[in-house]
Amino acid sequence: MFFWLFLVFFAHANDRLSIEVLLSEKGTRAPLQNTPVFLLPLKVKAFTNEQGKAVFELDASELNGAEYAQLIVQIAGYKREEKTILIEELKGVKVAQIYVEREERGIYETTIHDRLNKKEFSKKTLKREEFTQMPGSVGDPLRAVQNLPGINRPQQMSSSVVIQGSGPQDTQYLLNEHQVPLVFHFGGLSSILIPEAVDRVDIFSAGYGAQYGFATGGLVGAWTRPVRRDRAHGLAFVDVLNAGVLFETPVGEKSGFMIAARQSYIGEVLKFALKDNSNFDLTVAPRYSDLTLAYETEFSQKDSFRVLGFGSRDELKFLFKEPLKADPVLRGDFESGTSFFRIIPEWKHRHSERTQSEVSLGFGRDWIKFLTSENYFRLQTHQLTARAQVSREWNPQWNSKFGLDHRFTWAHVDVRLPALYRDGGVANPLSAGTIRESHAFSQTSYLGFFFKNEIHPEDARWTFMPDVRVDRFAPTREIFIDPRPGIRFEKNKRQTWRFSMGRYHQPPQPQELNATFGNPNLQAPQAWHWNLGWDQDWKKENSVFGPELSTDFFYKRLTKLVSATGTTENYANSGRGYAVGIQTQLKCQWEPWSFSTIYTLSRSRRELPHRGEFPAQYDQTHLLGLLASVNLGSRWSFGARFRYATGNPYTPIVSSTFDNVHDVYIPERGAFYSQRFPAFHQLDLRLDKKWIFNTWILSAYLDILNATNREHVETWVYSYNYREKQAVKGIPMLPTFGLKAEF
Amino acid sequence: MNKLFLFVFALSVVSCGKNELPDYKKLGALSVLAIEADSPEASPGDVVQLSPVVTDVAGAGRTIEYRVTACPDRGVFLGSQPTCEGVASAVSIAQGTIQLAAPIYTEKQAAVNVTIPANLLDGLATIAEKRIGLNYIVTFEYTAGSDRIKAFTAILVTDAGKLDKNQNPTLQALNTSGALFNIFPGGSVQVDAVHAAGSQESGETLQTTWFSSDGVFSKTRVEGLNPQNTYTPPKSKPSGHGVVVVGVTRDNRGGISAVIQELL
Repeated sequence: MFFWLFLVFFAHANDRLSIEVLLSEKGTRAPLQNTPVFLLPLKVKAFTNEQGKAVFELDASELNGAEYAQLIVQIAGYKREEKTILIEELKGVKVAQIYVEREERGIYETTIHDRLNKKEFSKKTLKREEFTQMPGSVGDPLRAVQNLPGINRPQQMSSSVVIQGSGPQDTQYLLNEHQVPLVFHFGGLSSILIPEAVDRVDIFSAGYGAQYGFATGGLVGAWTRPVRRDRAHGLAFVDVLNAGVLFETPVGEKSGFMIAARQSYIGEVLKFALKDNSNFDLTVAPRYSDLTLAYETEFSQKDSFRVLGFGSRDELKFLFKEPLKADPVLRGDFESGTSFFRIIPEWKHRHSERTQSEVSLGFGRDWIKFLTSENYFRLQTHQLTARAQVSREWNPQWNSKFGLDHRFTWAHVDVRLPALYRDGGVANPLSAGTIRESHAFSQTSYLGFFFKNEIHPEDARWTFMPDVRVDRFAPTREIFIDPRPGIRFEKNKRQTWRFSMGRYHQPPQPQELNATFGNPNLQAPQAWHWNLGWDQDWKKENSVFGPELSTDFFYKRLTKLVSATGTTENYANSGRGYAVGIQTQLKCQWEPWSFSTIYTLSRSRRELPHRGEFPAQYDQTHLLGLLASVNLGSRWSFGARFRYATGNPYTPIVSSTFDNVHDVYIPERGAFYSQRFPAFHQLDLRLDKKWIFNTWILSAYLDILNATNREHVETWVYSYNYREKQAVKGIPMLPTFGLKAEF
Repeated sequence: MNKLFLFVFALSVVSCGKNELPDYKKLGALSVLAIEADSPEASPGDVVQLSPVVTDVAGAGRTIEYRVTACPDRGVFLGSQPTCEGVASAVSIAQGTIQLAAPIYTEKQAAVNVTIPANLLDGLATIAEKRIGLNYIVTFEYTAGSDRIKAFTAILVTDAGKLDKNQNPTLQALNTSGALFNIFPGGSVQVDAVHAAGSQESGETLQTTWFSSDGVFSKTRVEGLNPQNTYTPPKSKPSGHGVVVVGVTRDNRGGISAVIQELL
């Protein structure tokens, strides 16, 4: 970074000289406030104001005939800069600019700074400056969460975030606290948010607080960042998958506006690669795009308002030139698309020093379609979500929050599909399913109230949180009163113990409640969570260097899980299970190095009446992540990530039966999830470089996924009669390259 | 929907890549290619004759044990296992042994008679439901040495008063240039599946599956009436068995017709 030392005006007025200096940081153009500037030979100094301007007023005679003057800037964190100026050149002439570079710091922090938010202690957080340079994540915030403890590794091409052994459908996805239908563009290629517009990503796991609900596994919450209102900013980026732009600007003194857009093109590469295939014609390459808009303003000192607009679109078309051999109902044209938008206005009002309220609404629509030559699934929804919260500090020992969390959906669904029977992770061929047709309109409402408290007794080290949540699920006609209490003990500034527990409920999936494809009499699945955590900080006083440790023991008890029955009932609440484990994270920073070690030891089991107990679909006994990064100097940084995960369990297919009517084979499943894929391990590398120019910054990165080119088995594809199988392997070594220019 | 999409896309992509899995249309192992019913849709009390088309080219005429069982459908096309084991009302239809004849070891077996229970539809309340009907499942098991295969068919049972019951299509022959093809050895030829008039009933889409013991068809399945395919014969005559091609036409409602043809 450089200071932009800019000599604006030097005028002679009755031998009086006035020198104005504007001090800015090179690259970002950020004005530097309250910074001393020295003028020699006079040995005087002036401080910059809020705009970064410093003024010297002096007599020409004070220069004593000197031919040169010298401006010097020397402050902590920046390189010393000197500028020598010929006195004669100053007369009515603008002096050339001088750029002063900022000292390098530990800005390439690829470690995980999920500093525990002590007010929400089942939450881990990844901030933007962390996930954008994390090896193996290609700068994507939601791919980077896999580096957090307790997050199971999904299959590649999966768009799921699996929390502590729960099912992927047990995770809720939130954008600024409002539910969205998905957070990944299809295939898990990229999350729906342009990373530079994201402030942070929160993961809520076992024992999460009462302000959220509707999920028995956990929550993934993405938050957009505030609009920068100091001056106009913009960026453009391009990488292997997509390209995008972002622009933000102040509007008046108290408002700001941001727009960000992104478009993929990786599908065109795929289309080209498959163009000579004899049976497959990618008529429309897979493509995605997203758009983010934000406007914020402050009406008064007590009121702030913000509105976020967001849209996402995915589409794909291809043509089977002949029916798929293993499943002939799949033939002809195939089209898939998911689009949605949300408009989220938010208002915050401070009633007094002790009372604040927040209200936000989410308006939006979803369009999801899945079309083949003869079958279809079309879903259109209108969504209205509302969140409101009043915070009150009654006294220094007690503060409360009372809030509302509501989701209302109007949905039109048109479906003509074979019954998709899937059990133990094995799906029967679509061709063997009875064709079902449904055209329905529905309204669903999920309403929640929460009451959170923080109570500090005389011993201020203790905090008691007797929280509770009340939910009403209209589709299942149920009302729940769910306790969510917690206790925190801060032994000292370095050691904290925390305990939380609670009961959680989750609505059945819409297709599980559908009158034609599901069972309208289902009840909501339920879970009890217990979590005991310990945080220890060994960093030196007032230092960011040193180790930190965070450990959690978790246990979840699951009941009323929805399982397929294979009968006209379709589904029943006949499943149950548990997940138990310990997760730990050790972070260390020793400039220029930073390290992070994540380890989770867990066990996740399910039970069905006719199957007994078996491993859950994402039961991964060991999860290990090792991250290291180093600042190499000259704006180079290097990072590496090694991951190890126990292979996912799968259900073997022991035989099959020929279906004469549909000309396919129906698999016979062995013991559920009784076998495992080989263990997964992968090394990812990342190299970053920045070039700082006067008014802009250029960044480049090279992210090498699977640097050792190890082949690992993600799943099996079976022969038509299930007697033989072939491994579907994960991505080979994949270098990805990206460029970003910003001002 | 996300899972369904990924399943189809992944399957397609893998299918398009290097696929080392056995080809469905290649005859060799012990298999049931089709089960013809003289009446794919029947009434309670009817006797339906079922003729399975069995192939065992690699078995070269070994003894094959078989067993046939029938029972009401518990929801096979909703996900229940296609078996009559454990079903109280299951009926043993037939059992015995067969030997497939040289040189092609592919035959349509002698029919087995299956009597539809007269009370099968008694649990349905309305005539409309009885006209929609229920399935009656017939399972076949074949065992030869360590090879054991299973197959089933579903006979749709509807009210006797329903007049427009489903009929079988009729696949008459596999021809090339208007005659039974004896092109072996030779170059690739177009092969026509010849259907009898009236094979495709209103609202039906016929689908014909093609099999060969040697050589290769360009497509596994082709839709429509009188479809065409391209056959490339082997470069030389195989030893130990004759070259056989099989065509099976389905109407996707239980109606089936098969043709077996030895190439000379």
